[in-house]
Amino acid sequence: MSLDHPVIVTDLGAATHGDNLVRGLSVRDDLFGRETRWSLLSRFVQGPDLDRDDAALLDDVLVAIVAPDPRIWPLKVGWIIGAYGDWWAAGAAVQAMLAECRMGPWACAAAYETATALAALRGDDATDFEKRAVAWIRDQWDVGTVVWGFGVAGGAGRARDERMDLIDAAARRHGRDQHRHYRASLDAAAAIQAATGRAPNMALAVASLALDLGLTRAQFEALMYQVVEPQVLGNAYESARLRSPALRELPLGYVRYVGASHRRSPAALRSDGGAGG
Amino acid sequence: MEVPEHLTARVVAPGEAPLVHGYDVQADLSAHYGFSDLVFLSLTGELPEGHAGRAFEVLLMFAAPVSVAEAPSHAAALARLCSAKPSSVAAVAAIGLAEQARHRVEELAPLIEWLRADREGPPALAGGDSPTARLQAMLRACGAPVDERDAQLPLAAAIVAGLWDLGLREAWQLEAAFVVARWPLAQAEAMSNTPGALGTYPIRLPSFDLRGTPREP
Repeated sequence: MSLDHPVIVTDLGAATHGDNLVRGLSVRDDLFGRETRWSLLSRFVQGPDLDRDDAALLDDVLVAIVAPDPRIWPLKVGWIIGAYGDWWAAGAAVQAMLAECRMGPWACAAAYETATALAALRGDDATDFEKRAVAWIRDQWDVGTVVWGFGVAGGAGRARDERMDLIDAAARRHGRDQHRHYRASLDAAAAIQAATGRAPNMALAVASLALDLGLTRAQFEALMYQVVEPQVLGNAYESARLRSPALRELPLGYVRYVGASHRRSPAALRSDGGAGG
Repeated sequence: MEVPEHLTARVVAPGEAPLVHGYDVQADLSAHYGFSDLVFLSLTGELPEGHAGRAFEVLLMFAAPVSVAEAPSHAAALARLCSAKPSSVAAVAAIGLAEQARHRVEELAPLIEWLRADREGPPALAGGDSPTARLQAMLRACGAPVDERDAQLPLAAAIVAGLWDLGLREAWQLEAAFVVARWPLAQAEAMSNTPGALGTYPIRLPSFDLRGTPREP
């Protein structure tokens, strides 16, 4: 019986004699000395060509939003698994949990929709834009829609996302602060915060920069994983280095059991002749 | 240069009537054996004989309970609280259990050396207690020979000794037995949490001493 030989078509990469190709481009002749990490990543996800200033912007964004506190929940997952000494496994666990997780790269990608909507709302006519933005978001909240890119975690001690200032500095340094999506998002966010008290978070700012770079939502989410990956790796590596016994197993005194009470199985009761209790 | 045209399968013969190590799962194994027998067959290549099937099942049951205090369950529960999707929670649990099993078997290297030497000399570990005594009672009840010297072992070591006696001698076999036993419970424990209910998570457990950070009052 002859089999159909499955063929997968992709130009992502190819090894040739003495060279490698990325989307048909030669590493040796086309990319080396010109490509940056970010332009290479964008090429891998079929994103736009990113020049060195785009790359520098993304480097600034990466540093601006770095938040490597081990208590951040996804990073804590890495600490727990890393306690056995293998940072690869710990990193894999964090990467696995971030898929469609309502925090991290997925949440940033969700803010992409908000930034898109705000830019569309402004359109070519900024007349009363701030007022319209406030009305728009109130309409969303009235029907229970989550508007990603707003809301700051951390309780009363963190009224605003401190990373917004650094992202804005990066946007201005690289001449992106007047670009369409970024400007619309930031202007709308200021008005929304003044009217409702709900502060924007860094996801809105970064998503709007991504839109201005020409990234799709899916491409942006993939690149956002690369933005957060250093702190994932750092925490996984540190946990694997420290190998905390407490993270491998906490004392049972810290467990509060709220499940079913002790009961005997039907088989156990039958073997007792029903006399057990 | 000739390159293979096939993936090589040695354990599962695929198809509408799959075989595992030659045995028909649907018509034969499901009629005459239990799931733990299938696990034993998978890991060793042969079906358990005599007392071995029931003994293996007892050992898996004793190995199964994984507390939320243990890393695999703890991490998976936290992933669930972070609203990770169920398959991601499962992946976190599986990675955690594989790491826990690897770490456990590595730590029990002195035990395995002792078993390899037919238990010659004093046991490599001490700490036998009620759970080990209960395990030994259950193994005796199913007709499995029980080595009295294992009574001095802590439970995890006694389980490994029991698996060793049944023929699971490679690290990967021992690790796989622990993962298979524990994974459903780790996943169930994790999934019992409400997505997004991070207010229920004890963020200071354990505490981190973040050098350079002003201490919270």
